[in-house]
Amino acid sequence: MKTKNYILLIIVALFFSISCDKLEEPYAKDNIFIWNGRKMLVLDFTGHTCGNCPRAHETIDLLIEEYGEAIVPVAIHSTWYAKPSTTDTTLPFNYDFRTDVGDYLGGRDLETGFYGELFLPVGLINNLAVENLKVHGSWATEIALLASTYPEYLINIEPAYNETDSLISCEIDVTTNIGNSRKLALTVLILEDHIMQWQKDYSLENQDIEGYDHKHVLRAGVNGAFGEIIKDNTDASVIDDQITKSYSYKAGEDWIVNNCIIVAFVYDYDTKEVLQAEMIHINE
Amino acid sequence: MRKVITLILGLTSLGVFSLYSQQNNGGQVSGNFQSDVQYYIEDPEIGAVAVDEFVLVNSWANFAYSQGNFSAGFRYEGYMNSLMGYPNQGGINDGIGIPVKWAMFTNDNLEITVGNYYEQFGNGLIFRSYEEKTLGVDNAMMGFRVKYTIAPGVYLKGVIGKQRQYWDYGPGLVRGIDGEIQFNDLIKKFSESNFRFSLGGSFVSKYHQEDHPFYFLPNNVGASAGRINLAYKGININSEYAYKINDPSADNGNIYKPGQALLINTTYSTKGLGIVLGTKWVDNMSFRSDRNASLTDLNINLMPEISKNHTYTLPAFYPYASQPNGEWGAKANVFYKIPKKSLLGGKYGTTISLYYSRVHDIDRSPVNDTTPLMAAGTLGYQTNFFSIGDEMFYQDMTIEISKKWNKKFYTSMSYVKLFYNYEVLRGQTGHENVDANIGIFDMTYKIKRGVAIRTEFQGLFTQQDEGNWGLGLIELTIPRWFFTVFDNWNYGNLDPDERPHYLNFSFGFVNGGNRIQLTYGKQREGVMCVGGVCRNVPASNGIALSISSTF
Repeated sequence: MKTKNYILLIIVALFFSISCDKLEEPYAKDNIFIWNGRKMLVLDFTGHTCGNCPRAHETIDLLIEEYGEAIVPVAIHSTWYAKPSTTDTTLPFNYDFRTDVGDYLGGRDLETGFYGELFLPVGLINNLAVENLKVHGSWATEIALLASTYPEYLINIEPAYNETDSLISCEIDVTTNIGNSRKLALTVLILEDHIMQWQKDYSLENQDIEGYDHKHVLRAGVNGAFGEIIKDNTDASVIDDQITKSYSYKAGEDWIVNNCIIVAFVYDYDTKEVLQAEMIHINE
Repeated sequence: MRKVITLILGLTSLGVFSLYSQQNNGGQVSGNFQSDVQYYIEDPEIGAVAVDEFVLVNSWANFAYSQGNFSAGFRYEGYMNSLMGYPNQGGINDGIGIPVKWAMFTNDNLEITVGNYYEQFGNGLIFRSYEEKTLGVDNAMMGFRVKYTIAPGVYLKGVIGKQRQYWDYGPGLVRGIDGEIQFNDLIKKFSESNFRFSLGGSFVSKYHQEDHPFYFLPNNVGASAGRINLAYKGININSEYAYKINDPSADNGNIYKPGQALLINTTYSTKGLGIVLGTKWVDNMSFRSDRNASLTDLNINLMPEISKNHTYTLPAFYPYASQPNGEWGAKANVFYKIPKKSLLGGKYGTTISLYYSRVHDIDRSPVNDTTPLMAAGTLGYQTNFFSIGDEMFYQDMTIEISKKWNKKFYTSMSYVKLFYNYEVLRGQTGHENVDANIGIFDMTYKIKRGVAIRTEFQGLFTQQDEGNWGLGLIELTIPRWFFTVFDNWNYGNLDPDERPHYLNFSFGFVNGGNRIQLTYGKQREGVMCVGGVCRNVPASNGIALSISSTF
C-alpha cells in the first residue's frame, strides 16, 4: 500500500509541474504578415446602446492596424441595442442606424432576425453561416487562419455618384483567380464612415459618449441581405473568367455621400464561405 | 413506486449505448422525464413575439441502471426547437439526441467513471462541472474520472476530458486532481471528537492551443486551490483560496494578470438559532476551456453565490449575477425561532429570519503610468488582496417572519430592500440603478386534510426601472390537484401607457412520480439566475404545458 501511495504522490507532483505555461513580458508577437491578396469580411453586429460593443470596434481597429486593406469591416446596427432611445434629437441615442438588411439579419427591437437571438457584440468572419457567429475576442484568430491564403476571385468596383438624383451606382467585375466549380453569390452593400453620434461604453466613467466616431456603418443592402446568385455550380470557372454586374441605389437624405463606401463580396452559396471582398470609397 | 427490472446496458462496437430488458436478476433501473412545451402568442403590449414554429419544446429524460458495483446511464435531450430565452445563438442548441452517456464501477478502493460525468472540487472555485436545466447550462465532462480512497477519510480524485458545448465538445482539454483528508476519519482516536477538521487541495489545468495572431497565449493554464474545514459542536468554518496563472481570454480582454479568489463561510446553529456569515473576494477568475467562449459556455469553475436566491416573484425581478472578473461580497443571515408558549412565540412559536448581503466591485489601478487600465496585452491592472472598490453592485436586506397561528392557519411576512446595479448586472444600458422596497404577505389556510387555500400579496415599490408592481395570487390545493391564479400588475410604471397586467391561470395534477401542469398567461421580460448564473427571460404570452415523471 505504501509503495502505491508514493507512486500516486509522484504522479501528482509530475502533474503539477507540467501543466502550466507562465508567460513573461513582452506578451505581444512581432509577426510579419504575408498577404496574398485575399480580403476578409468582418460583419460586426453592434448597437449604439451596447456598452460592450466599443471593445469589438477596438478589435476591428487592431485588425486594420495589423492587416491594413485586407480587412473589410461592416458594422451592422441591429437588435434591441440599435433602437433609438428617443426621437428628440437633442437627447442621447436619438439616431436611427437601423436598416432593412440589418433588421433582417440581426433582428429589430425584441424580434430576432435570420441569425436568431444575438448577444452583442458578435460577428461573422468571412463566413455567413449561423454556426460561425463569434465573439470579438476570437476574430483575430479567425482572420489569422485565412490571412495568407490566396483569393479564388478578384473584385473590381467602379463607383459613381449622380448628385442630381442622389443616385449611387457601381459596376462590379468578379474575376476568377483560381479555377473552381462553386455556386457563387454576390452581395453589394453601402456603408458610411464617420457618423458622429452617441455610443454607450461601459469602460468609461461617463459611459454615454457624444460624437463617437461610428465607422463603416451599414446603410443599405443594394441587392438584398444575401445578394444574388451569379454563377451555378454546374458552371466551372477558369482563370480570368469575368462576371460583370451593375447596380444603383438612391442615397438616403441624411447620408454624407463623400463618406460612403461600396462593399462587394462573393461567397460560396452552399458553404457560405466568403471567397473575396472589396471596398471602395464612392469619391475615389 | 420504483420499478425494479433488469436491464443490460452495453456499448456496441460502434461505441453507441444500447439497452434491453430481462426479467429480474438483481439490477435496478431508475429514470425521469420532463417536457416543457410553450405555445407563443404575439402580444405587442408586453413585447412578446410569436415564433415561426408556433410551439417550442424542451424535453429530456435520464435513465440509469445499477447492479452491484456497476452502474450506467444515458440522457435523451430534445430541443424542438429551444424555448425562447435559453442559450441558443444561431440555433446552436436546437436538436435531438443522446448527448450524455456514462458507466461507472468500483473495485475495492478505486472508483472509475467513463463517458460523461459531473464533478466539483471543494467549493467549485477552480472546478465545477454541472448542469442546470432551468438556465440551459450543461458543462458535463466527457472523458474519465478516477477516485481512489487511500485510507479511511483520505481520497484522491483525478479527472480528464472535454466539456460539453451544446451538441458538441469544446476545443480545450481539462485535467484536474483533488485530494482531501478528513482527520476524524483517518485517526481513530479523533473519530468521536466534537472537533472536526479536514484539509483539501486541488489543481486543474486546461489545454487550449495558442492561436492568436497578436499575443503569445499560454497553451496550458493552471489553477490551484486549498481548503480547510473546521467544526466544533454547532460552529463550522469553511474556507478556500484559489489562484490561477495568466489566462488572457475574451472575458478579461486578453490581460495577463493572474487571478485569485477567497471564500469564507461560517455557520453556527443551536436549538432555535442559526447564524450564517460569509464573504467572497474574486479577482480575474473567469476560467473557461475555450478562451474565446462567452455567456454560460465552457466554464470550468463557478464562484459560489453570496447573495440570496429569492423565490417570491417580485424580489426575484432583480437577481444578482456573479462577476467572475472581480467582486467582493459579504452576507449575514440569522434565523431565530421565538419559543413556543412565549408572549411573541404563541402556541406554535414564531420564526424570524434576518438577511443582509452586499457586493462591490474590487479596487483596480493601472499597472504603471503609461499603460491604460485593462489594456489588452498587459497585466491589465493591479489590486491589493481583498480590496473593495467604490462601486456597489448589489445589496439585499430581508426580514421574514413566519408564524403558525393554529392547526389550520399559517402566515409568512417579508420585507425586502434591494439595491441593483442595473447596467453592470444586466449588461444593458440606459437604466438607472434600482432601489426597491418589497413587501410580501403569504397566508395558508388548511380547510381539511389535503385541502388548503394559499394567497400571496406582493408589492414592489421603486422610482426606477418600471416603477411599482403589485401581485396577488390564490392557490387551491386538493388531493392530487392544484389550481393557481395570479395577476402581476405593473401599476406604477412611469409611463401610464405601459402598465400591463400579467395574468396567469394554471392547474396541475400530481400523482406519485407524475406531474402535469397547464398554464395560460403572460410572463414579464427579465432575467433569472441560479447560483449567480443567469439567462434572459423574454416576455411571452401563451400556453405552457409541463410534464414530468420519475420512476
